[in-house]
Amino acid sequence: MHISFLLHNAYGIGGTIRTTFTLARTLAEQHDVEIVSVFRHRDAPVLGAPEGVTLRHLVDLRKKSATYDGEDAEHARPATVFPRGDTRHKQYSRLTDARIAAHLQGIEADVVVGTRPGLNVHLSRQTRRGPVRVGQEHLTLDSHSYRLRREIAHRYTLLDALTTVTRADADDYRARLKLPGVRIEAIPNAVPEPGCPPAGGDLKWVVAAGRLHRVKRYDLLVRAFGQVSAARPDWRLRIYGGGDATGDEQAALRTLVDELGLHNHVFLMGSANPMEAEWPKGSIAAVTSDRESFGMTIVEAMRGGLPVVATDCPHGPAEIVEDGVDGRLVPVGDPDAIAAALLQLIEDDDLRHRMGAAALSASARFDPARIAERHESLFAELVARGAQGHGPGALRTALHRTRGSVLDGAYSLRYKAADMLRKGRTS
Amino acid sequence: MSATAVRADCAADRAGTLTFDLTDLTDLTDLPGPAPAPAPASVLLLRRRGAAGRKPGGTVRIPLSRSGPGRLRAVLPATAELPEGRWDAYVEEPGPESSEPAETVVEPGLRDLRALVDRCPDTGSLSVSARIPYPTLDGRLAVRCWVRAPHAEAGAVVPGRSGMKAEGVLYGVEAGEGAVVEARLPGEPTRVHRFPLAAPDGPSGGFVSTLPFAELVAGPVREEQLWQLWLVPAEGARGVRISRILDDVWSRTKSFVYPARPAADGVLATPCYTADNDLCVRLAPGPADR
Repeated sequence: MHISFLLHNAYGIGGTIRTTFTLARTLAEQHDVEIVSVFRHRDAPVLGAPEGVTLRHLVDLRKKSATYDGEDAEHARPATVFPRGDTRHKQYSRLTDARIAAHLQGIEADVVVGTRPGLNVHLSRQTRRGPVRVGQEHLTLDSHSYRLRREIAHRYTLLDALTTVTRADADDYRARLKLPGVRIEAIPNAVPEPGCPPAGGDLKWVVAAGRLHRVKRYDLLVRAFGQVSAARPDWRLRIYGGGDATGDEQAALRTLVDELGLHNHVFLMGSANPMEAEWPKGSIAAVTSDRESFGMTIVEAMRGGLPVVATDCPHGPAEIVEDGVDGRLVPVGDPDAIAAALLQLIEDDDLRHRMGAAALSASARFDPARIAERHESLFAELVARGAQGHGPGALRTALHRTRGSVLDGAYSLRYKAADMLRKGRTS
Repeated sequence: MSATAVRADCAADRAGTLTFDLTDLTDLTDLPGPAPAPAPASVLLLRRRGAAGRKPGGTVRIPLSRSGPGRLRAVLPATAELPEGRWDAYVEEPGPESSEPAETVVEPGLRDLRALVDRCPDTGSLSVSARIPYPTLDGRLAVRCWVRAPHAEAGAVVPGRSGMKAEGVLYGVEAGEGAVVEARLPGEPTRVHRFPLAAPDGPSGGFVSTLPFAELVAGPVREEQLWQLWLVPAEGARGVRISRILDDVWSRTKSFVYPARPAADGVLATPCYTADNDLCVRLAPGPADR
């Protein structure tokens, strides 16, 4: 198969970029794979170009480049195809509308894959008839604004499939949006096997990782660790992750560490890249977020052989950790419960080693080869279906174009008029 | 970044031996083709940073052996001598005939340094050394090396209301009668303050001292003062710099951070580490009447 990914910016750093690179690299072992990056702002991708994958861009934002597009008058006009509800809307323009349209109308691929809501909308509106259209959701439906939810409810109907990273989010899509004919499937993110051996389980450190942001609730973890170190002063905590530009969260955490007198037990290590060599410096991992659209760090820690103490928050953790078997799930926002779970694993060496081993073997299901296989079989099935004439042929496209009149979903009724107007302007 | 960089995955063992596994790095820029793999005749060259790198003993060459397809390995045994400092890594390839050998920058890959976490060598060892492979700010591989004989390893730093308690372990020397922690202000040899050690009650080699910050303040502090902390094991003995080097953290300026406390009116004192992992007390102008 020829598979073409459409990515916001392949040259930056981020979870979606990382996971798309992993998937593309793995699929490229069997298939012809390209990543088309809407933007390019630097010469080389920060995360390293995925091996065997063709990488190209549509809009060049390198100021020193001979093909710099930033001065184009069309780039100053707001996008009309890229939905306003997508948080990246401000970066898109009439220029991206046109460049993405040209790309999708001339695309040679069997499967075209969008990697964020705005790009999925482009896919459904602009892809020429033929290729299978797959939208990927890397966040969650309920994390989107009302406006975006309304836009995708209408626009996603022309996709062949939508993949989410959790079953919980797939259920949400099925329950809350009416997307007849769109296959909705949950396929978790892949995490490669680390390049170093798994943790030995005897170093007396708890490790946490992720950007320093309120939603990660490191404040809870630090408070919990106050209880842990009171009982077991020989154990310490490392939190890896960079703060944002304001540094507010980092300053708040430092103040908390000071208040609790944990200077010799809790360390803000800054960001580490790659993180895979840092996990085995600990014997337990902790993820205490209020929400996780997937829970990538949980899987990373488990692949490193660490049992994870995670909050049972929406959406990912419960689909990754089996409580009491390969880690612990604790209630959201409860430092006492976090401390109790950490102490349980600290006090019981056998249990910790056993759960670490279980985490190591259970997390093999997230191996890129196995995850890529699931995408691959979905793609193959859709391509085959398309070839049999049940795919996004002329009939289905025509049907969906008029769906405003045949569907009775609340969104489409309420916004039918507005949608018709917009359609008239832009299509 | 050089277009022909190689990447080195590093591993440390408990004894202090470092292993470097080199792979040729596919070029990340738009230039076509992969970087040439280092030839087996090449060596891993460590060059001490600064002027010392151009003097005799300023370079160490480690032979590379083939360890797999496209992979070369260099091993720096714990017993090999490596003076204290920062050592930048290169792959040195012999040039044609008598021309200068070519040097290729080495990028840091995976650094598996778990064996360096919480090291506790025998306190009787006469000399303690630490070698930590790390990424420089411009993305190259370097090795930070410390060699101390004797050595005073900083442990817990407990900030008090207007002072600090410093704990640590002495290696290669025992604290005797009259042992003190000495605070020195570089550039002002007359400004030295001594703080007695508390009676040892921990494991052998352990030391504890309490430093009231007010004693360091002689007058208004107009600009930052960085007081170094030394352990003088006996009256008249040579001082031992107090540092923290027995783990995997090559620079702890941003991770081992302690709160500021008022040292005197208008003066704040903060325990801190330098970029070389030496323990210090920083005095800085601060709000009066705190």
